[in-house]
Amino acid sequence: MTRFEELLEGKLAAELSPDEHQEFSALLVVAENRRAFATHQQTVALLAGVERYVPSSSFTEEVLARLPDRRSRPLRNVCDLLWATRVMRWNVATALALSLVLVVTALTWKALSGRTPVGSERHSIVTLFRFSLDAPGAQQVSLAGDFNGWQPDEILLADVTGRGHFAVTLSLKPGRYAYMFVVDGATWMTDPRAEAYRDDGFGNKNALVNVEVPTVADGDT
Amino acid sequence: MATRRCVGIAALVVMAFGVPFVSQASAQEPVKPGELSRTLEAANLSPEGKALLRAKGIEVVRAGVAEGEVAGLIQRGVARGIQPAELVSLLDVVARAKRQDLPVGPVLDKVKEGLAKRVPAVRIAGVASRLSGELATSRDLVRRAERDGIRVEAAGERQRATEAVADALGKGVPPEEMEKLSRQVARSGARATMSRLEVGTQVTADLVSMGLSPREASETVGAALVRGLSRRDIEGLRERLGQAMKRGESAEAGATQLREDIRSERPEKADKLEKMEKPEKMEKPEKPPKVERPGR
Amino acid sequence: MVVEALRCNSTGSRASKEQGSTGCQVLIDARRESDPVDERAIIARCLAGERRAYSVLVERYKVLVHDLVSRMLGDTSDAEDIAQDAFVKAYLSLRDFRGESRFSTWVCRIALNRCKDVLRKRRRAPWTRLRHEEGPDVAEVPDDQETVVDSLERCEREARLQRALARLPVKYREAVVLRHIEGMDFHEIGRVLAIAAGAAKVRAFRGREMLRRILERDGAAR
Repeated sequence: MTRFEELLEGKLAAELSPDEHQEFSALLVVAENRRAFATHQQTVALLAGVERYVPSSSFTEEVLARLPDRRSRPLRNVCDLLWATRVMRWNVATALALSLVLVVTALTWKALSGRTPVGSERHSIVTLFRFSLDAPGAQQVSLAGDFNGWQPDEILLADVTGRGHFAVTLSLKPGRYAYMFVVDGATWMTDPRAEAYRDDGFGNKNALVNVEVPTVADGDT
Repeated sequence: MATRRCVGIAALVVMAFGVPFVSQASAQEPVKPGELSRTLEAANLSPEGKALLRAKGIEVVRAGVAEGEVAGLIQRGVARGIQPAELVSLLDVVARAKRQDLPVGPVLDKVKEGLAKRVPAVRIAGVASRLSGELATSRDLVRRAERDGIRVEAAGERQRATEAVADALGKGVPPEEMEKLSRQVARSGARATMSRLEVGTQVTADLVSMGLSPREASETVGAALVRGLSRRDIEGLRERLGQAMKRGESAEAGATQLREDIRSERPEKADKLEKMEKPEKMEKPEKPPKVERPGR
Repeated sequence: MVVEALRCNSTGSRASKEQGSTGCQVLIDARRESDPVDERAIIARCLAGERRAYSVLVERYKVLVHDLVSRMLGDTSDAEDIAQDAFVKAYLSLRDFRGESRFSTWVCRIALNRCKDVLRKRRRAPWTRLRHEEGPDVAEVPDDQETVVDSLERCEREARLQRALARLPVKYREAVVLRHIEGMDFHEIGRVLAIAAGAAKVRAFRGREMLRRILERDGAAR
């Protein structure tokens, strides 16, 4: 960024000191700088004049409806009981024996977890994914796909607002899943807002969702 | 005192030896003995039908498919009114896939999908068989890719890559094009990983879904792989092609332009100012909420 | 839903240009005046199990987040879902919020990350944006102060601007939207984007230049 550009940005943000103001005014003598300034001013004015996209009036209620319950009081008591500080007496022999138990368990688990039967998953991290469909007039909308063995009546979407906007949030392990909606228990419908599609081989089009392994950094291979 | 101590030590020793047995029991897949039998008993079928399915079911379980899956397929098929002989043909497809050491999950899913969508059993068997064939071709291709130097860096990558390649083959991308993609990945040095092959084939299949010919799709992704684009940028090819098509260009013209852009693109350099300033101390970056559960 | 975008609003209340500007200004002032201590108190109540307390934060920032998501994605069809996702995710990770910045910074960052995920994966966006090419809904005349012609012109202008914004690289688009539409200062933008304030200035500057070029090209092509 040149010095003029820095000052221009500061001018637009009304953040120039008196000295910087003078410096900027001096640079405006150059016609090209004046043109640039005018252009940026116009663009800022254009952007500042736009209308905000306002959400629906039921937005807040819908968010609250999707929030899980935090711990209820009885459960809090149990947690307090479990996590309360306690004083324990111990000796070296007990400590060694417990360590032996842990080591043996870990080794055994490691040896046996190599056998992975068909159909089991290895990933232990899940991502929340929200599926939604606008189906005014529908009595029931459900979701069927690879993630639930294509059971057509297992995952029901809720129409929280009663306006035919059905939605459900699922926890999905990383992977690529094909799915369709089932309306009123009989009509299979492709998600019109999916990220990708595939023919199912039976004459329908499945929607696809790709759930990636959550990563901390942006870097990748 | 001595007695109490002895009892305590004995208890710990018993725990030390007992825990492995408990671990063994819980580390195994939760097999419910007799699930197949229970399913068949409850099924509304003739004795001959039940016998037929029992024999086939046992055969499939012995091939290595989980009993729960087999029982589940039979239950769904019976509930749909599919005849035992037709169900046997579906189970056959699954067993064959397992015997060929293919990832059986996609085949099972396809059969379940067909049953759920009330597709005739014959058609389900045909589609599932074709899928098995694609998985076999893709499995061989992935094995060759590994021999060529593509690394598997995490559990499940090989299987996911196999499924992705099978998907691309199913979209009509010829095996030769997949081989070419695989070689391009293999030649990318430190980036020669199975996950890159997986994303490359997925995006290739997606570009074909968007209307590109398989050859154009694999050429476009190949250009990105050779250029060393990141996984994110390779996935971004879908959006870029979409934007080109939105501007009125044909898929082919868009892909041609995309390849030219890729070949002429320089890695984006940060502005000098961005590089010079250190980021201020920030809140921890947001991560999606993680729910850790023990794997099945 | 895309026609809603051409109406320059989704299903919420419609405002005239003057009210829109005022509404925006009021929103900025509300954000500037939102007391961090007050927000920490609300968050403490949420963590204690008072779920309804969260509605205060949602109400306060829903327009900001929804507008930001709409601008980043280029249409409003998914914006409400994604904006809701951002608030739900923010709620689920409330324990991680240290209160060193405003809650709006936190939830905007979550929303932007979600937008970036969607943009990476999305294939449908180009088709959705294509529908911006249709004429605006003539039946929607907001109030007496604006004629039908004014309404049409304004909608067309905003649709063109939104199309141009959608063509900006993501990192410039987010800086431009946060600065000139959502009214954040560069320090706050830097916190949202996890970059230095200076870097945020550079991105806003470059973004505006690119935007102007796109608009000029777009105008010349008509």
